[in-house]
Amino acid sequence: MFMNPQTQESNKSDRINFRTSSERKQLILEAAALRGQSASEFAESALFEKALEVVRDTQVLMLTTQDSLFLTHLSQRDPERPNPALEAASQEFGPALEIEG
Amino acid sequence: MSFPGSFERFDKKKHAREGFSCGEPSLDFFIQQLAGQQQSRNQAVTYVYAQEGRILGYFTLSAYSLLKPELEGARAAKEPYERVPALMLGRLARDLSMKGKRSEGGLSFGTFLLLAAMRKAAQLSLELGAVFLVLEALHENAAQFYHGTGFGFEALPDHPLKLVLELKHLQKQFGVL
Repeated sequence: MFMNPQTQESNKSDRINFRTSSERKQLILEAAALRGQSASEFAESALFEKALEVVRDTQVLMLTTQDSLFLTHLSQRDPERPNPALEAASQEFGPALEIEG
Repeated sequence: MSFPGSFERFDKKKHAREGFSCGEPSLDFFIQQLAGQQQSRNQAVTYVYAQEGRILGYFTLSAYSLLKPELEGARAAKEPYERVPALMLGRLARDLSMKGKRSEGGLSFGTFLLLAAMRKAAQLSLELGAVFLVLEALHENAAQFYHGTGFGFEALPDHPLKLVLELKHLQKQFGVL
């Protein structure tokens, strides 16, 4: 049977239970009320948004202007700058650093 | 060479992951439950250092993007690309049995894993084009470990647990050019 996306989304039959402190619970209930939502609606949508954010963060980083200027600065430095620590370490291990296959 | 074993691409059938413990629950959980799944979806590849099938350490690499804020005027002309391609070294962990073990040159096993990850990233960047290696430190202590190596990792000013290193330096350093 054809199900439109809304039907699928509103098929909320699974449960999540979790513990929290009474202080946090009060705050969550208050915030949900401010949004005009039940505590479950509020918690479910907040968790869902957070989950999307966590997944997206594994692939992309939004740089700030500061971050971006810093990266430009890095790429304008002398490309021949020696790095003695890295030099010595890669010398020591040599082919042991290679991955088989 | 002072660490017994070799680097291999993670393979659920070959590598025993149940006993792995590094002291950081999220990293133990990753190798035990998520690494295989992420790899079969081509989301992230895990490389392990194993001895007779036993995992002594691992790291993961995946494609990553740095998105610049919208630039204006002269800067936009100089830097027309909004997305900077990068490689993410998302996780790196060593089994507690390797804690405190050092190479003849005095380097830790964690440093050894890091070097192999850096070398692999340098090689990959030649094949697909990536400007930076980005490393995700779990917390401030982990970030201190990476800074302490002296390998040239720099923290992003507004994301202090994200450390970056230019891959072009590594290409030269590891002679993969």
